[in-house]
Amino acid sequence: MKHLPYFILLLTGACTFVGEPPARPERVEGYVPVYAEASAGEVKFTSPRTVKAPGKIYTYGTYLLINEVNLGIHVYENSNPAQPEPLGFLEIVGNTDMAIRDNILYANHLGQLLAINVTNLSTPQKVGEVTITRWLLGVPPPARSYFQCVEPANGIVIAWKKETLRNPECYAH
Amino acid sequence: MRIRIFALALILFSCSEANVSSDSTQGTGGSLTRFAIKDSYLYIVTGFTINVYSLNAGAFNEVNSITIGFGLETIQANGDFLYLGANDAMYIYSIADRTKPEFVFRYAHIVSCDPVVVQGNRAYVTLRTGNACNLGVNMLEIIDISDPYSPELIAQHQMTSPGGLGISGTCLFVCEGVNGLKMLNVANDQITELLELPEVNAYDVIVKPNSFILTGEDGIFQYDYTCDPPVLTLVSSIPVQRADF
Repeated sequence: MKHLPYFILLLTGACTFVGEPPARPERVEGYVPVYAEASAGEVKFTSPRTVKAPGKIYTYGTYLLINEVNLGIHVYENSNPAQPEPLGFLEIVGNTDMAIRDNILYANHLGQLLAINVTNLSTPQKVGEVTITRWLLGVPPPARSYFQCVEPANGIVIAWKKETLRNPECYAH
Repeated sequence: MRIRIFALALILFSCSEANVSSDSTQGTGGSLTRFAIKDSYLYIVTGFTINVYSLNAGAFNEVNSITIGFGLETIQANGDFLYLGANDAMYIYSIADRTKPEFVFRYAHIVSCDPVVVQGNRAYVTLRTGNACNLGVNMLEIIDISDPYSPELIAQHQMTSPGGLGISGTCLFVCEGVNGLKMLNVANDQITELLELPEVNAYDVIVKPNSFILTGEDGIFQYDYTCDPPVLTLVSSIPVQRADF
């Protein structure tokens, strides 16, 4: 009864179980969680970036938005689909989901829901912020690896850092 | 005794579909989205709940949060109903009262990963075997939702590793991860494979009447298409430079 059930994790298009390690080595390469402060990062619009880990996509008018997993949103002008033009990058730490209505972008920012006026994309204005009840979604650990167990009280996991672990109690299958 | 719980998490690269909307001021997301807008309300699925947010100017707040169960992944709004894709079922909720989603039906099946998209009185669901979902099957299902209180399975089709999907008219696109993208005809509820792009890594697609945007590990690709005759034409691509963990 030492461990409460670990919930199922879903990883990049596949499903991953998190649970008891197959064995508990004394020292092993693994991952430790990087927690975000609830207030981490201001929303700002910066110059275009390379797409590295594309997440969900969204279209609004002639814009194409591409989520960069947990970092923010790439914004493209897509009125000519043969030549999508990068306009910039909207930095929103922890972001994975988005929706737009009447020029207001709704985006998750860690456990918060932000309302951002994007009438002028180069100067996004935050116009509201509320807590998302039971969001509880963080970044799962890499599959088939040992990791330091997550302490929800420490905040939301936004990344994993490689480290040598001692007697790790958690494993991602 | 310290209690350690790692909550259900879903990472992206999901596959999706056009949320066709008559409201021109609203955008279009995909089948694995956790956000759905209906009128001036935003519905968010967390792992366990549907949360309702009022989007009225000056009244942006959470107006309700309803506990559904475990393993919620996707949400689609269609008419007066919400369709939720979960690990173990498709849930239908009524939003006749926009602020109070009310349970209508739980279409249960064996554990699998499944987004759902809706067009007219049909729901299209993919069931995929994953590492954690190895009780599942790899299947595309068409469900008749003319009566949301009594949905009926009307067609099934074997797939390889189906994930997100998108539909326009009778043309259905199914992302199969490393196994590419398939274009299918679903006219008269008969499922016929038309074409495939086996080499592209396909996770997420937004389908419009004559074009679609596909995303995956290799990049974001825009295609023009026709269903009859079946033709796919690559229009542009945005490259991805993957970072190592």
